[in-house]
Amino acid sequence: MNRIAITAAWFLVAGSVALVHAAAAQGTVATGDTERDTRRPRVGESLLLRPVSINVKDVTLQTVLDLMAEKTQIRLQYPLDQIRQFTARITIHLTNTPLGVAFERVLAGTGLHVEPLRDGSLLVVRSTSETAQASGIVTGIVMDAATKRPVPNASVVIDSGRPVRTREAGGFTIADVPAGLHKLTVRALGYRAYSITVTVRDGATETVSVALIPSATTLTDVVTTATGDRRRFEVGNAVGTIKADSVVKTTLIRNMSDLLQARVPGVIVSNTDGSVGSPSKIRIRGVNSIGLNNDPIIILDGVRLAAQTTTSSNQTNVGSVNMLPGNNSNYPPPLAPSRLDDIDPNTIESIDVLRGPSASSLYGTDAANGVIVIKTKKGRSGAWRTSISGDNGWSTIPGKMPESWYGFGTTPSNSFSASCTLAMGGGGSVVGGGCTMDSVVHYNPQNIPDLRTFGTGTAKSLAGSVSGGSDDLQQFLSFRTASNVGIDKISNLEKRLITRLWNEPAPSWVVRPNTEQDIDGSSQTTVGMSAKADVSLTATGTYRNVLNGGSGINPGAGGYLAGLADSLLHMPSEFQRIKVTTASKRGMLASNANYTPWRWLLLNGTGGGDFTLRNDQADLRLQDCNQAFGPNFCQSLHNTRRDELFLTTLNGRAQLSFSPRSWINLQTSLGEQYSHTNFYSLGAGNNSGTNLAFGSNLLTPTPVLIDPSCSGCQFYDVTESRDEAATAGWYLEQSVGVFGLYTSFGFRKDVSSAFGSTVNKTPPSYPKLNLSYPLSAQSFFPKQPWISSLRLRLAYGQSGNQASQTGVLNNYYQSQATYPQAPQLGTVNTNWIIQLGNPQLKPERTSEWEGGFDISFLESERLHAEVTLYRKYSRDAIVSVTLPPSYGVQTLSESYNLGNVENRGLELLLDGRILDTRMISWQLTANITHNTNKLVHIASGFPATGPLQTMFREGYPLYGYWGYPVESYADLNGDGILARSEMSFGPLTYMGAPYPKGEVTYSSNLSLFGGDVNLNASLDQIIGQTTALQVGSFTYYPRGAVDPTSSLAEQAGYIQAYSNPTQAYIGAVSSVRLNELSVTYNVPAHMARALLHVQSLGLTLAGRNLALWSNYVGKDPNIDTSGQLGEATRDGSNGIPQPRNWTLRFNLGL
Amino acid sequence: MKHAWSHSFRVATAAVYGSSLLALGTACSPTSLVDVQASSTIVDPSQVKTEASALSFYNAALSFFPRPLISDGTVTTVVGMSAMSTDELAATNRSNYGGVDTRTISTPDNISYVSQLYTLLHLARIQAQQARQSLQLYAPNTPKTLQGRLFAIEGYTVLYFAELFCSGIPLTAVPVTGTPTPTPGLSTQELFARAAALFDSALVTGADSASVLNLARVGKGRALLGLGQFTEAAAAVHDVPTMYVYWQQMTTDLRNAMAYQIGNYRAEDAEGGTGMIWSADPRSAIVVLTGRAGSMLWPSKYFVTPSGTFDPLTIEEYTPVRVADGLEARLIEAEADLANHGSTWLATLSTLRATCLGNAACAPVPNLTAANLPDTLTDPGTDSARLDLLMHERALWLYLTGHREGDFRRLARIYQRDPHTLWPSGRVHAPAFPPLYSQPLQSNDTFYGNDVVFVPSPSEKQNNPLYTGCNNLSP
Repeated sequence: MNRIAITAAWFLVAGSVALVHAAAAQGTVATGDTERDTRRPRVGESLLLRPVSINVKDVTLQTVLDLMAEKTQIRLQYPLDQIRQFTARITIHLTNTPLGVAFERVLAGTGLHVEPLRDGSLLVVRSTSETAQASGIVTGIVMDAATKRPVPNASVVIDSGRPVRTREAGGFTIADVPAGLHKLTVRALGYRAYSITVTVRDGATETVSVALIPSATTLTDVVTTATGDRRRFEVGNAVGTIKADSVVKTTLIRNMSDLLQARVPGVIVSNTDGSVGSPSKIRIRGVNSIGLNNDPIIILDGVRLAAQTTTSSNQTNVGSVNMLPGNNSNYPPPLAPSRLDDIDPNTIESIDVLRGPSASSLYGTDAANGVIVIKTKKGRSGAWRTSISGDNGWSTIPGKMPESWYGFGTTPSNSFSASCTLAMGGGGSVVGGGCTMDSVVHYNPQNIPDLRTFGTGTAKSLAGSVSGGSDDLQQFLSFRTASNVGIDKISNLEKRLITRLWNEPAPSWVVRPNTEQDIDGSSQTTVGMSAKADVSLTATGTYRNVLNGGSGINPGAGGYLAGLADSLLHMPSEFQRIKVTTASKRGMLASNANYTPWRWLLLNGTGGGDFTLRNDQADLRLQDCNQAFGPNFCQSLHNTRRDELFLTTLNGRAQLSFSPRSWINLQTSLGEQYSHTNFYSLGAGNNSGTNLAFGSNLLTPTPVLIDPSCSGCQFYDVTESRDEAATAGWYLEQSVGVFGLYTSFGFRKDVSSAFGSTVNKTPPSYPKLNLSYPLSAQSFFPKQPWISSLRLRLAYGQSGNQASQTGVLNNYYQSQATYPQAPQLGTVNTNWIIQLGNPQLKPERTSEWEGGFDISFLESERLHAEVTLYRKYSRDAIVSVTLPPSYGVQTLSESYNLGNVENRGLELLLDGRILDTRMISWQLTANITHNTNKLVHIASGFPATGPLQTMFREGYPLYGYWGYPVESYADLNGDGILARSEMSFGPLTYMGAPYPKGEVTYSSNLSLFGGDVNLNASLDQIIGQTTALQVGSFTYYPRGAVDPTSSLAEQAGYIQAYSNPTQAYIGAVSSVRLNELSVTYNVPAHMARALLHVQSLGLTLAGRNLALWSNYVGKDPNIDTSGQLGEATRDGSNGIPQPRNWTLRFNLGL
Repeated sequence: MKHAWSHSFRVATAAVYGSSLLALGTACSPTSLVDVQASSTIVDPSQVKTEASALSFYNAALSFFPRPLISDGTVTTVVGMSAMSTDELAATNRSNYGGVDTRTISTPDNISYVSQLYTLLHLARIQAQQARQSLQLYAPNTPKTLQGRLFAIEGYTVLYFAELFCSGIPLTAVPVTGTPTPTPGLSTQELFARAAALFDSALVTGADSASVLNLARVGKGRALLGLGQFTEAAAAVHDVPTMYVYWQQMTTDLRNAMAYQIGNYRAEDAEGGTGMIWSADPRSAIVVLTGRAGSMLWPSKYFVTPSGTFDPLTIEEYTPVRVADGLEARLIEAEADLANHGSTWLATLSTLRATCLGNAACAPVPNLTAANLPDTLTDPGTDSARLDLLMHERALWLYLTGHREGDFRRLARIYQRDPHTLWPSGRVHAPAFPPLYSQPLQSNDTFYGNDVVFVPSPSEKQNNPLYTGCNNLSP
């Protein structure tokens, strides 16, 4: 029943928006009916923006109107009898005043106003008596105090009424303002709030001019919370904000990951790979969970998005393109693109990052890892504005790749050539003196031009947007097309070989196996229904096609390098002959309705959906087949998978505001949030079919055939899966502002599908408490020139993380067994328990304390600092406990609430305008993050081990690396070669945490010539990260493995690594990366008009990943190929280093 | 126009109110909102409690059984590992099963192979257990024989633990409903006894099916043989016809690994100095393959075409395997007779040579001819030699059926034979034939280790709080 109700309500909201939109369109047809609604005109706004200058003295109203019509060449109609009733003489002086404002001045007190008609004329009509007699109009313009340029999209509020937004030219008009004294407040992103008192007279128009002072503090910004937009200084949390609009214009931003990386303290973004389309991992304030995902949730215009970057059992929107045949761990499948990167960064206005439960508790279950709130760009009333941007970029692998070492030799028994290692016990294919090494070579194919498989990648994009509308109907339309080619390629040598061997040129997907094409479109419509209601609708559509045939099996893997030491001779194109594509189509709809029946009540409804259709396909033509995937089979391949994900959001909120006295403000919010995810997947593949004759070289005298009786048979495996998850909750929040102390407290009651009515009888409840005290705004705060603002804040909150259904209930697998022979010939249905569920499983609960202060120094807050300390504590951590094999289920794990996890940290934002003159301004910003993660408790009896060499131990970080350190080594027999027996190892020891303890981002913005030239630079420093470097990841063998002349230390390092179960080096990593460098030239407006007949023109040259200083010896210290598969960071065998990018970008304003 | 605006306004207002009302509704009754459809990997509990589901569990149990027996993707099966650890098979290269072949089973580099078999056996055991419970609970009207067959399958999985693995194997019970109960390890004796008890249950519930009865009878005889209860073993198999065979059919996704993993194993005469001369007897179906650098002995027992003919050069990846047969029943009787100093054992062996030829059901390979198989055996005269002869015959009749490791252990444990005279020892010989594919060669410098039993996965000890590991690593 409820699902039907939800669907109906959703359509109700969406449908209403459509009707409103349609009505708005109809509204453009003027009827000439003088009895029509007397609200302000909705069309022809541009007419009223025409500047007019009038200088008359002591004339009649009719004379003035005639004069204005003459000067503006606009046909003006007016009721002559009514105009002649006004006999008062008029004197007025206006210079370049918008026509609308001029009419309001001229007609002030007459009870008349002007309405535009569709035919381009204006009509003077009588206002209703109520409006004319009881209210007036406030109009004005908002500009930047420094540059005197208009500030569009600023929020203008009369008292506590519904805010209106300034138009593109900075103008605004608020009608129906009751006569009397009012407080007008203007806020805009990046400016200090501005308030003045205005006196509105009956039927009169008050014009104000507001100059906003730029502010680095952003304390007056509006931030988005679960209970709606709030002023930052009212919120007790540190909310990280990214002003995406300006960032995208001046730096190299290709996707959401670029936008989030190194911009907000506490947010760590790890690239999983340097391939185009590869996902990134986002972790906020450390990791909380052992068994569940640690992804933040994403909210776009109020609607939840499927955008997790790592897999988890209940967020099945992503997954690896696991379509390659065989089970070859050396060549894992490429990672699926992140759905977060489906969002076009050009359409984003700003991003608020709620970093933990202290800020996100009202988002309920799933929000323990933080919330990323994305606001898209909105249309602005005024003339239609068009902007076009485009970029063209290049990417390359920076520097040289490390070299591989090979020891070639022969076996004494049969003189076969072999790859020898020093006699270390397990290191090479032939050990213990069984190999006579005769030569040692070292090189890396990537460093040899003819063998290089990394080329120059390219990236192009073209984007455009149109924005405009009337006061009541604003629209923003955008479009983008992008095309990226990754750096993967086949070597020149191999290209020639393929052409010769195949008698045809290598297909494009072999030559350049990693490409991406994006087409995005979005529309944002806002309809102001009246002074009391508005409705907005955001719709986006994305098509994204990623070819990823090569990155998963790239030449950095053992295959290519090993090939030169291995008779299999795997070359990159062996794998790239498999064409692996991921094509996704995505549509997102967000509708938002606000209604303010009374000034003290706001009703808000948000509904929307996010639909993703993804098609994965892997094809291997029969003629391209070889033995790449195993020595004993060869087959063509055709796998396809179709995933559908539909995520629905439905939120409702009622907000009551009450201010009984001037010193107290009360606000109560009551709301519900509901999100529902439905995932469906269908796959088909012929992994086990096509029959090929092995070559006659395999057996003599007769070739062995696979199933000769079924020549040409195709066997298809079909898999189907679906998953559904839902979370619902309601919350109550009370905010109290007393004498400038802002407090809010509340709670959320939650249920979810994993802990729903059939499973858990006691839904969790998440409380919150929030204090903000802007000290400097208090009267007792001493007035002095040094400290310009100071705020103290404190916040507490709880949130959760839910398991999947399969964590709670037994997981079954249904299949069929086919017996191909008599007497049991035929197919039967089979069913078994594949994994045990734990019906006692509870949600993880994370509580967080956060405290800090914001302080600014000097005039105009030139120096600013935000300091935040937090402690986040997760209870009932869900741990996937390994079951003993005697439990006899296929997946030997079961989820339990076993652990407690703590994250403590410090976040520091330092911002200063070092220079601030009319011609030059220089701003330096440092984001500093420090986090310590610790498993506080884990239940005894279940030794929880992590994957590979990462472990969970009390007192140590989650996924901490453990190993056996070398205590001593000595060449006891004096042969110059270290043996394992000549080394001693210490006990299993903690070796470091996978996530960095600290990250510091330094940003510099130098603005020259009044903003015409901007130079941006960003350095990203990673401190205290531990990474596992797998043997074979960058070299097939390191020098210490094969070179008898290598130092004992090198040999010891290799033996130590090989002694680890996963054959990995584990080492501490620190790095400093020149992340961004860009220069932007904003061509002066007059030049832009003269040169290209455009309003504005900006040119940007931007570079990314331009330099790296690190103690790391692998490919790249900041990629994490564990990616979607786990939390451990590892520079795995198949990872491509982050490429170096250069891009030239233009921004045109028409 | 006015009407349109007013209408739109009313609709929008209604939408807002509707959302708000929904919010209130949600607040009042939120739990039903999240009662989602179960995941595709979750079967609704009500659907599990049906006869159809119970039969699907039964089918799954039958399809699981061949995995640890012979049809896992590798040779890490009862048949393959038993052959590797003894003299039946040798590895072609050291990276594949070399550790098992060279009796260094429990070393860190090799433990994964036996761990895999250990896990597969438990998987088959628990599935049989759960399927039986499902039939009892949700399909009580289905023939009891189905439960009997599952008892027998579970019995064989326990029997394999007893024959292959060390003393001290836990048999955790994981009911289809309810909570699993971890258990401590059972000794080898206890495992044989548990297997015999399961076969007894199979004999009761499977009484309607001769196939199930004989399967249980042979299993019980085999278990009692492991306990040294020879008379009882012979009695258990007495009614099994010589021509009885219980074939384990292969499924399309679980092929007979001994047929298609051709590159990983070979035969070797007198492996480790103590091994049998396999190539001289047609029952082992050893063929000689020639290659680049010499010849190689290759067991082609499972190279049987779908029509039942034997072709050593044709892979039939679905060749079924014998789990139990009348041939084994007679061999058990012969062994019991010999152990009891009887007089019929030699005749029994000779009769088998005369009977199990051609395409007779008891013939271990099709078209078995008597050319190299004289039907008259001579009494060697001493108890030790008689036992040797019996075990020689048994080895050839039951070649590559997963019996050899258990036989070796019985010889050591019951007959007090020195393990060094049973399992291969000394220097490991590399094959003269190069590996089929470019894989590392077996080194001539490797020596056989001393392991005589398989050990459980280390995960058992790490994650089963009641399990302390093997209590005895001797045979």
